Parts: sequence; C-alpha cells; structure tokens
Amino acid sequence: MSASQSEKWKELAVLAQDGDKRAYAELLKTIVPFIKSRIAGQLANPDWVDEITQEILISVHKSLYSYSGDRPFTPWLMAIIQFRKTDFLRKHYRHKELKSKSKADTEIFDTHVTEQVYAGELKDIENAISGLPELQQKIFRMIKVEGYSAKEVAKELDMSVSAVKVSAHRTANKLKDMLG
Amino acid sequence: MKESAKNMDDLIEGLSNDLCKIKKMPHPLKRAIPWFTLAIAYVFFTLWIFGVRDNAQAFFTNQYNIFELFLMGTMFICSTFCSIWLCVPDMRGQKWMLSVPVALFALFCVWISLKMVFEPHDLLTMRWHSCITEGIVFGAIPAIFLAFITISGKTTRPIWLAFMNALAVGSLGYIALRITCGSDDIGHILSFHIMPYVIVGFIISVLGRYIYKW
Repeated sequence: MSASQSEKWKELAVLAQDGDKRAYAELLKTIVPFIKSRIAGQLANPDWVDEITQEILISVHKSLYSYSGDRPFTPWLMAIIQFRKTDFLRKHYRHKELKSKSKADTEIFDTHVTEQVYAGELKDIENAISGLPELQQKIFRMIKVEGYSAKEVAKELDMSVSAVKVSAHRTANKLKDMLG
Repeated sequence: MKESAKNMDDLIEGLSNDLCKIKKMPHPLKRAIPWFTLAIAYVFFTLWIFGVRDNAQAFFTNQYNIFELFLMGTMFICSTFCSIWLCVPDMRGQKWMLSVPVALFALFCVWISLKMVFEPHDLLTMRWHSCITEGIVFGAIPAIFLAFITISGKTTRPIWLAFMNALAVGSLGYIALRITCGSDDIGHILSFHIMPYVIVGFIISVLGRYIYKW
C-alpha cells in the first residue's frame, strides 16, 4: 500500500463522514483488497476471508464516526481488522472446542442438539431459525426461503434496503455458527 | 467465487446507501471534561453529606498520606484519559498511554504491600462494613456515567477499557474513603476500602468483552 493510497482513503473517509455516498462506496471497495491481503495469510481456512472481510466492513460502517480526519486512516482500519479477526477466530475455536467433544459424551446431545433423530436435518435448521429474533426470522425467511428481493422486503417491512441486507447477512452468519 | 464477490458488492451497496451525514466523535479531551466535572462534583457532594474524618488536620499534614492521595489522584486522571482514548479503535495512535496507569497501579500495590509489612495492622476480615456502603455510594454514579460514555465508543480493546474504567472509579472512590473514614489501619483499608473495588473491577474486567461488544 502506497502513501498516496492511504491519503486517498483519508480523503474518502472524511467525505463519507459528510454523507458522500459515492466516496463511501469507493472507500469500501478500495479497502476490501487491503483487508483481504492483511487477513488471508493468517487464517487456516481461506473460506473465512470473505466472511471476516464482511464483518470488518460492517464494523467500519458502525465506527466511521470515531475516525478523525486529522489522523491517518490505515492505523484506524488496522485496529478494526485485528479486532474483528481475533473475535472471529475466538468464536470459531470456542465452537470447535464444543464440536470436538466425544460422541460418547451424551450430555452434549442434551444441551446442544434439540432432538437426536433430527440432528443434521431440516428440523435443526428450522429450530435454529425460530430461535432468532422475530424480525431477523422474517427477513431471513422472506429473502432466503420465499425468494423476495431485498428491495421488496424493505418495502414490506418499512426498512432501508441496506438494513435488510445487513440483517440477512448477519442471520446467515449466525446460523452458520449455530449449525457448525 | 462469483457469488461471494456479488455478496460483497451487495453489502457495500447496502452500507453506502445507508450512509447519511455523520456526527463525528468529539476529541477525547472534550469527552473527558463532562466526566471529570461530574465525577469530582459528585464526590465533593458526597463528602459534604458524609463529612470529612475527625482527624482531618493530622491526616492532611502527614506526607505519606499526601503522597498516597497524590498517587491515586494521578491514577484517576490517567486511567480516565485512557478510558476515553480507548473508545477510538486505534486510540488515536496513543497506545503508550496505557502504560502510565498500569505503572501507577503497580506502584500503589507496592506501596500497600510495604505498609502491610512495616505497619502493625488488624487481621484482614471479610464482612459487611459501613465503609463498603460508602465505597459503593462514592463509586456507583461515576461508574454508571463512565460506562455510559465508554459504551458509546467503539473500542478494540474491551478488557483494557474495563480495567481502566475500574481503575478510574476505584481510585476516585479510594480518595473519598480515605478522606471520610477515620481509620488508617492498613488491614481495615485493605479489607473495606480496596478489596470491594478490586473484586468489582475484576468482575468488570472479565465481562469487558461482553459489556463493550459492538
């Protein structure tokens, strides 16, 4: 990454803070390859790269107000990258620890599998979805099961399109975590 | 691969459509001012309610007590600054700041340990005492206010933030307790002035990752 690139990001971030959507989209697009290059080499599974990158983009969105235009952009972004990557790995390995329990340990079935006969089947997915907050469930079902577009769902639920997309994305991640 | 690129594009489009003019986070110094004002005003108010110790004159002329108050006052200021700076993901490049309250805390631990060794004292006891109640009163409101300020930030070091919050509130409460409580016995101070803050601080630090999740 060149110094001019960092300067460019700084300018785009300042414009984005003023509400410039185009500058913001450009900022997000240009930081994606940087984020991927920073995390790719440190992950055991290359499939995680996209997932963590999306988490980082959402975090950048949430914390953009904390960026100060008189400071370089890259250290601010790097702090978020490190934080989200560690957070993801911590969650993943905590879950893995759970999965590594022996099948002879029947306690795990009582606490983590709703009904043994349905383990790994549609019932588990349904149960996982029904455990989510109602609005998340509704958005997820409408987009992923019933095939509505994000725009249609947004109109139906009186929400912004981006909020619908972010919610669907998070729900998918949550389900992935829940179902392993 | 194509699908993941599409997902990424969708997300970027969604986030950028969602953007509106952002109210920027004020400089940490500006964010610290309301906390300092409220915390100090509150402690003065509670001191006025509880009243200062009977032997206040002797207490304030003792150089060791002055050193102790100065040490805790400095720790209060430094840990507050760290708490507020930690609300920014990269701490605005001032990570070195964390070392100051940690060093002061270490110095305080050494100071208390030396007092334990060289001063005769009561046995440590764990029971409810009026000093614990007063400690809660001194600490509760500043703790809530500081938590409110810091939760509104975006920290990438939640455990450090919880620890700094505990140090800030604990040091302020300790100063207030030393001014109100007439006992200088180190056993009493450790059991009823320090230990409650240490226990609460430990719990908050352990839960930091959940408290400051974003």
